[in-house]
Amino acid sequence: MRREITLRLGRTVHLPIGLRFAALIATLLILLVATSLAALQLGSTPVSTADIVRWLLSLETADAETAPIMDLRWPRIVAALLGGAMVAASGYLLQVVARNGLADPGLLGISQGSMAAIVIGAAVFGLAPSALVWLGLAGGFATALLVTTLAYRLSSATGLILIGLAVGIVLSAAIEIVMVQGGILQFARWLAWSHGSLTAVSATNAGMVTLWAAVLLPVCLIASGQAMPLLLGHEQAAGIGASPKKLSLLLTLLAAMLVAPVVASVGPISFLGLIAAHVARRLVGESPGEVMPVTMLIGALILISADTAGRTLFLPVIVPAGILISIAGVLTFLIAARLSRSHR
Amino acid sequence: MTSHEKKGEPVLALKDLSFGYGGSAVLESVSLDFRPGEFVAIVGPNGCGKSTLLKVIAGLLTPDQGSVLLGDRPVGSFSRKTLALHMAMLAQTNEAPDGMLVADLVGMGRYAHEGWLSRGTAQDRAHIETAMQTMEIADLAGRRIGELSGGQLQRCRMAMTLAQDARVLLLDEPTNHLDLKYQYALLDIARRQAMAGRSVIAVLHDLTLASLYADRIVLMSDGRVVADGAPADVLTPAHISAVYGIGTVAMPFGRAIVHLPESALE
Repeated sequence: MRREITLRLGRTVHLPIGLRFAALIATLLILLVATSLAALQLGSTPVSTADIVRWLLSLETADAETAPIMDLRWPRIVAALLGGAMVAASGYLLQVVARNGLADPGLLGISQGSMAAIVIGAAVFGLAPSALVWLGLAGGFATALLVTTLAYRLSSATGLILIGLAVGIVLSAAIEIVMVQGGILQFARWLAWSHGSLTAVSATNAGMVTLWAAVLLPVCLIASGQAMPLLLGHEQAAGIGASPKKLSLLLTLLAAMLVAPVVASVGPISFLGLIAAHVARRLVGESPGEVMPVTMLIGALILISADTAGRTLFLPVIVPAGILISIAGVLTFLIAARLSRSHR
Repeated sequence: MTSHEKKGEPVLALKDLSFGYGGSAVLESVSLDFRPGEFVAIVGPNGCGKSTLLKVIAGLLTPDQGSVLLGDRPVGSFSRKTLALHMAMLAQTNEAPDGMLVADLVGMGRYAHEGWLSRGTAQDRAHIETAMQTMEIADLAGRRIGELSGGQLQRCRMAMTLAQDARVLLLDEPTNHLDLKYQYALLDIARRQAMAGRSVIAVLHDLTLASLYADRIVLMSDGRVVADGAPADVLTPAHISAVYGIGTVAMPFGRAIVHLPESALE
């Protein structure tokens, strides 16, 4: 049997934790801290480690040059870390619900549903960003329900992806129709956003994402501990005492909630959920309680790496993180599709 | 052995049950009682409604008419989790992903006993361990189910169902994918579960196996119960001919009854 320790808190908490899993989490956390520090340092104006440490400790001596650069960088780093974790978590939840390793909020049209609602809310009704998140949530959830219900009738793995892509394309077209109605400046901003870019992330955006993440990520971790029965199929899940339909609906809602604030502030990051969950499942297996936290950390790592690479590697050109991830995502998609075929 | 005796009050009672999928009737006025300590085999030709009957009993399908009573309460009035403490069901097909660990699969049997933040307690572990030993899969705990043979996987799934520790066991074609040795082993375990006081209801295809292990056989045809009783009373050439449409010669062999087709004996 595997080696494990047990987390005990009074009578209500009793959670066995595998040592291998714990070691993996620790490794990923160390990687995340290192990458975040590098992301703070790197850029068109590099900052020394000593200055960053001083700024982090917010000593009085933090010099006037460092502070403004840091104020530009920390919001996008926070948004990348938490946004990455949220999109990845959303993707994994969808994979569990759809019992399909190819599910992803971008590929199933959920991000586009969120975007469409946000674009229409902003352009047509002129709503404030804080209200747009809720609109994005409604749009994403409605799309998620539509796509999963249609696919449920087809009950095939590729059917889900096809329906998701089709719905996504229709929604993208709707988004573009609204986008071209505005001026050229507005269009340029929206174009960057629609590809998933962290360039325009403000401290307010970062704060909003943090608020949602603080609520949703813990909920997600607890819910994933209850999600394993869904992997057995609805009939067997009910047989062991789960309520598969209720659970699926709850997790789909959660998946849409995770995506909405990220879409509102960063744009859709397609393929991130697919890659992160795929890598996580390769590393820890299929137990959702373990896959979920690993997926979150890998999602955060991928988004912050892609954003930092996009804004430093090809200077003076800045490549949106979403585009870099899409390139990596297509490769993962092909590998995942191949693997899932050979396994079924 | 006294397993033929009817023991105690019925744990499960089906009263005038009817069910149909969108108009066409699959079950028609089925009434049956199941008692603790009884191993009941449900047999019949393909499409006679035996798997549907199991799903209605498990509360997965809601009957159009009639009721399923667990004790004195309708099955539909329980929450899924509470119901699973009393009744375990082994579905016909496996849908779990290849990457799932055997230990996790078997551990799923304890789902109904767990809380949102409480898993793997000493009691859970004890039940999982016993179930794995019973099904002879203790050495497979760390393996992924994609690496197993069909028979090994089926034994792991049965271990999951045993780990649930319910007093009613519903088994939908549990001998699927098993070779001869483990078909016998599984049915022997099912019978021992019944002897320990549980109520075991299994959909089976093989009449000989059913007669060999079950205390009672329910023979179904076209959604109705044709015969219900001790194997010797149910598996008669007249019944077989009426339900399966073939002439057979019955050969009693110990407690088993082997039916051979007349056409092959000529």
